[in-house]
Amino acid sequence: MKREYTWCYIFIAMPVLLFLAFTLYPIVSAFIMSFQYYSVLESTWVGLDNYKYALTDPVFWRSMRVTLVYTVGTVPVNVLISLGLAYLVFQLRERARTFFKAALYLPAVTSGVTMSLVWLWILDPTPSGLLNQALGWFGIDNVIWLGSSKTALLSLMLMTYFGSHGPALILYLSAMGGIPKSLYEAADVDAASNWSKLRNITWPLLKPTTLYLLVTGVISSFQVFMNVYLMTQGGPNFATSTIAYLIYQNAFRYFDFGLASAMSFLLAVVIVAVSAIQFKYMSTDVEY
Amino acid sequence: MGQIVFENVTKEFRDEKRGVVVAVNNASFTIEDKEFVAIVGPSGCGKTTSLRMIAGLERQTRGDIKIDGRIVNDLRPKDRDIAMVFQDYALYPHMTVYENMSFGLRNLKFPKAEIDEKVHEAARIMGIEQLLDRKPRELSGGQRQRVAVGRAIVRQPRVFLFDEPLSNLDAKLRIQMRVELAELHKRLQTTIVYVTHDQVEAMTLGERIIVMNDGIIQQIAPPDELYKRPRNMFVAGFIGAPTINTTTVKYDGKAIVSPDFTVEVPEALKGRLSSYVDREIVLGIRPEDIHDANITRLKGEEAMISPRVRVVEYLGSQKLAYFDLNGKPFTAQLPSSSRIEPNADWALAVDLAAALFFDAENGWSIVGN
Amino acid sequence: MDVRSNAAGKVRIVVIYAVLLIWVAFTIIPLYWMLVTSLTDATMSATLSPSWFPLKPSLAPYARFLGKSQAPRWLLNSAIVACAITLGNVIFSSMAGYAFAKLRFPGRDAIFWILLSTMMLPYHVTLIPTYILVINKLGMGDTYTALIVPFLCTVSNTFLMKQYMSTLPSTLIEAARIDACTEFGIYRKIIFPIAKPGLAVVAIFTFVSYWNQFFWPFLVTSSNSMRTVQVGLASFRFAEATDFGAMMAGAVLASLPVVALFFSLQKYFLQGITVGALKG
Repeated sequence: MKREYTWCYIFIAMPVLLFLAFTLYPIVSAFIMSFQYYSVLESTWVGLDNYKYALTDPVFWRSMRVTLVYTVGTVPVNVLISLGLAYLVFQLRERARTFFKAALYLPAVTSGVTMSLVWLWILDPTPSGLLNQALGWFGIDNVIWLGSSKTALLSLMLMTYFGSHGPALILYLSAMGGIPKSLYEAADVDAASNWSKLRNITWPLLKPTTLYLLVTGVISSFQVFMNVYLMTQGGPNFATSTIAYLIYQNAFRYFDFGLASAMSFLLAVVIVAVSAIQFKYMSTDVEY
Repeated sequence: MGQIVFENVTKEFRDEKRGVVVAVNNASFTIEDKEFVAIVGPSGCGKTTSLRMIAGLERQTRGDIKIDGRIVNDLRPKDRDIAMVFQDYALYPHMTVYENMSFGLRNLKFPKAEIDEKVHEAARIMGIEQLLDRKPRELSGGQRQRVAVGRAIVRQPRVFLFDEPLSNLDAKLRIQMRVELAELHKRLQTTIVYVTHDQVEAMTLGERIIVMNDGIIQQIAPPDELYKRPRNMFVAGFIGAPTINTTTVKYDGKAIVSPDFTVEVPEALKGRLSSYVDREIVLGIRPEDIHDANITRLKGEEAMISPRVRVVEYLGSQKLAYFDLNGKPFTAQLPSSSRIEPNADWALAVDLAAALFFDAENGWSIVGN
Repeated sequence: MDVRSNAAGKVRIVVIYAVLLIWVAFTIIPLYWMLVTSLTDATMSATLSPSWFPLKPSLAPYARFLGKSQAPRWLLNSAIVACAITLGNVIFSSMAGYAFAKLRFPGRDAIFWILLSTMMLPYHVTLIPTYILVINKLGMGDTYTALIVPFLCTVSNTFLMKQYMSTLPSTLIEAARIDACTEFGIYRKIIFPIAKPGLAVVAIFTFVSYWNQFFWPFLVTSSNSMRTVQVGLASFRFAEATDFGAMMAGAVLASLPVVALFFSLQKYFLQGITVGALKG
């Protein structure tokens, strides 16, 4: 009986080995590291010092706040934008639907790096920056988008609104397509208004998709790094220093691996907690 | 050769919700070489599990399975010399019909010429020679069915296993394929084990039928015996359409007594019922054993009833009348010449000589001594 | 939600089109801007007065970008890395997905759930020890191995393939078993060929995401010649911070392969990956 399992284990060998080497070992190692003063050359046991330091460090809290503001300011807004777009696109004919799906998806295939560079150019602080030009038409003064601590974080958030909603749009569209037509027909018979149909049929039945988008959106938003690194370097005056950027700096600028590990575990705790809260308040028994 | 023996075979599954489920419970039977045996029962009765254990796709928890006297418990499907036709046909969608049919032989490293010959022979038998280059998706349901059977016969195995092969066909095609399968069996002279939930299929195809329910074998018998002498109420109820009528009655030693009718028991039956005096028994009457008293010559032993008829269905060659007796729904199958009307009391005669009697406590047939 | 062909319905449709077209304009403008700037002459770009149309189209920004970077080498590196990772994922995630979905073996569900449970973990938790492992302990900094191996079979692709494989009928596997096919033969001759539509989706999304990957290559490459195009582009941004023309030329070059892929295989992108499952 033993031999028949051989192939099963061969089939799953690659992901399991990669998991052991690049997930499990690093988790354990990072956990140990978070209790050490760890640098490339030496490591000493420091107990909870890293955690204590992080939790009393104003920079850490400021980064947490920046991350939180960024998350609250982007994730729900973007989910709503995707839902709105999907609601509109869904009412069109097949060909128009395909066109809009493709057009709205396109930016998603380009890399974060390219989009950062383009937006760097759009948000150029001089009057010739695209956004400043556009505002100039309306007589609004030049804004030093990324260069001012008042507008830098807002600029990063703005970027995501006009980014691609394609993947989320497609999820919503396929979820909408999965809602039985008979439900709307029954609502028509009951003389329901469009708004009532949206509120009482579409929205509740889309909840699983919304939950998925919110949870994954929050998880990735808590880890936002690249835009910060390429566009603001956390500045000005730490206004855009997200927690992920802070961890990066501690680890790869100051080589304080222990502190960075401790912070990343704190980040993990926050992410798990926030996800759990979302599941608790958003999860539904709806199945269709 | 192709004799299959089950010796006290039990199959248990571990189910997350229900715990340990006994799919097949201590089953023992012998299927003779060249025999066509149908296994029939409601869904979840263990019939498909039994077939899959013969194939080697499931391993029994306890007991032995023998093919031609050899214990095959540890043999893989490929080493059991069986072929199987699946309910969904399981044709490889990316292969042509020819490739589908030859896949097994190619795996067994048969010479090319021999494969070619065998595939064409099987295709000829199934009448699908013109389809050999097509992909499964280009075939109709009936054609897929033929290919699936053709793939099974290519290898000339000792045993054919059919898992509800006709259930995905429409009614007309199903009857046609049923006849063809019966002919195919005559021609191939190979053991066939045929699983179905359709008692008509089982009755028409099986030389013997194994009736299963809840993992337990209820009866193994040829079709006519199953119909006329079911061993218990389950078999009586499962075999036959429309379903047998049953009602609980009392036997006082001379007559059968029930709220809606009382009838003297013919002498011939008294012996059989002797140990049930003053006890409850279940009377089972096939719909065709209830006659219209107005047009049928009576023997004088019938129980006369005149229930209020609720509905009459006209089926061309016959009429089905529905009424209640002793508070239970009854069906009578009458000739179409009957003038029975709904919403009227109608005189009907119940033929007790053809009736079945069951122990009301355990449902076993009362055979007497 | 059907729209009736009365007047109110028509107005409604027009409004919908208007809103959507404006939104499309907003999302496309950055890409259009990138293209226009990359084709605008050097001197014009330097004076920072871009126009909406390349009045005098010029390839000078491309020449400047190529002249000041190792762009061909970067593109080649990205191609090697993304292709190798894609190939690995197609092969290994289909194998593992098949085993998790269709085969029964001790520990199957436990192993699967352990793999899945770590998907929510932030990247940063594993990043530092992985970095130390790859760079310091294995000494693989600046190598293709370091860029490729950690991603040869991702958990999310394994999960997707498991979901996809579980939609395939088990009877095909059983029929093949009866047809005397070996266990590896069943994977290679039956499962792999019929899973192609699902694998195409995995391949496309994997290629795009690893072509676009930034953080890991950014950490483990140190020499200019080992950079992937995204890392190269980022380094160019800091080296030539004011030459937006050349920067946009680089961005166009880095985007071309994936945009071309998008236009040629649009239907795979647009069918999308539904929550928890591939739509087949």
